[in-house]
Amino acid sequence: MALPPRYHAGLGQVPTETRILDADTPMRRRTWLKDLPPGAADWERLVASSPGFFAAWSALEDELWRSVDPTILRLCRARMAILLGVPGQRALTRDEKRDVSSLTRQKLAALAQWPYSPLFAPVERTCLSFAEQFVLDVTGIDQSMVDALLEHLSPADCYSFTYALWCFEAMERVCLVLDVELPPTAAAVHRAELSG
Amino acid sequence: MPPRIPLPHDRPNSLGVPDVTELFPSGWAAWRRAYVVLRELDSVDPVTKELVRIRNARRQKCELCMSLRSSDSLAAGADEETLEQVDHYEDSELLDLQKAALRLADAYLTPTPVSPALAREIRRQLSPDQIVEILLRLVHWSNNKVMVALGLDGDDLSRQVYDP
Repeated sequence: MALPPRYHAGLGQVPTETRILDADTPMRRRTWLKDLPPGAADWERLVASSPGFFAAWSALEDELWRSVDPTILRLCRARMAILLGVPGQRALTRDEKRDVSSLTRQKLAALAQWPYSPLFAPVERTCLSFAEQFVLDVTGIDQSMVDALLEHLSPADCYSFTYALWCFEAMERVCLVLDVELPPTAAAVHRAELSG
Repeated sequence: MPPRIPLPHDRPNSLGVPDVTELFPSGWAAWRRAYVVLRELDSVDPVTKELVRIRNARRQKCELCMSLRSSDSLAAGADEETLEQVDHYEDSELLDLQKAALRLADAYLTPTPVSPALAREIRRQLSPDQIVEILLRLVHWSNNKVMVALGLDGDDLSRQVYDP
């Protein structure tokens, strides 16, 4: 069982509620940044404000999905969203709902119990523990947490996994600040671009 | 602090911290393409950008980022007295626009949804382009979390000027 993460003083208990939104529900519009370019959803409008950056960002996310275990990425991304206080998260796109294994969907639904649930493999628990500390207080990560990762991942994989955490968390923060609903994966960005 | 992961070599990069591009070359190549676009955004003045960058640097306690000063902010007149105000900006003599940018940065760093009152204040001081640019630059600068997590942000670094 993974050790509980070290939280920043004052943050208290880790949120445990998991609100996974249905992938088929239309994305919403309610950002306070009203002057974004037009688009069907707030995310598309944000992308339209800097299309070159977001096209490159989408390519970066594609690279991360190719380089890091996608199940681990889905679990960590969903868990980080919960900790960041994202009101509700779409862990899967409409296409992924069809294609992602039922075991992965069970794990997503059971994320609040990851330290104890037998659904989660040791590597998944270790990565989730690291991801939690990364988002709550990166200065609380110490050598023992990195060593735990290195028991399962090569140094290069450890680096690309941490890089992925930054990538997903950073854009989640942008969307939280702007009250924009973030699509689950880069695939959704591509679809927004194609439909725009 | 020393690196927390084994590295393929011990050559530092131009800023004096471990060169890690070989650990994830495809990721770095992809990020560079995004950074090329980000560099061209110019709605925010250099001093305001530097204040936001330092706010992030101190929040993440990134040794490298705290040691750096951008050449364009220095050329625009930023000095240490100005930049030190980032730690107590609400009570400082920074411009209202700069304070709004720092409040936006703090909303990103905490993170917290922006209240209607704060949204009105931010929109009063900053254009939509400036708001988006500040947030995308914070995405870039918060990459220092990867360095901090893995002990790659250097140790005992002297103050150095860099070209953004």
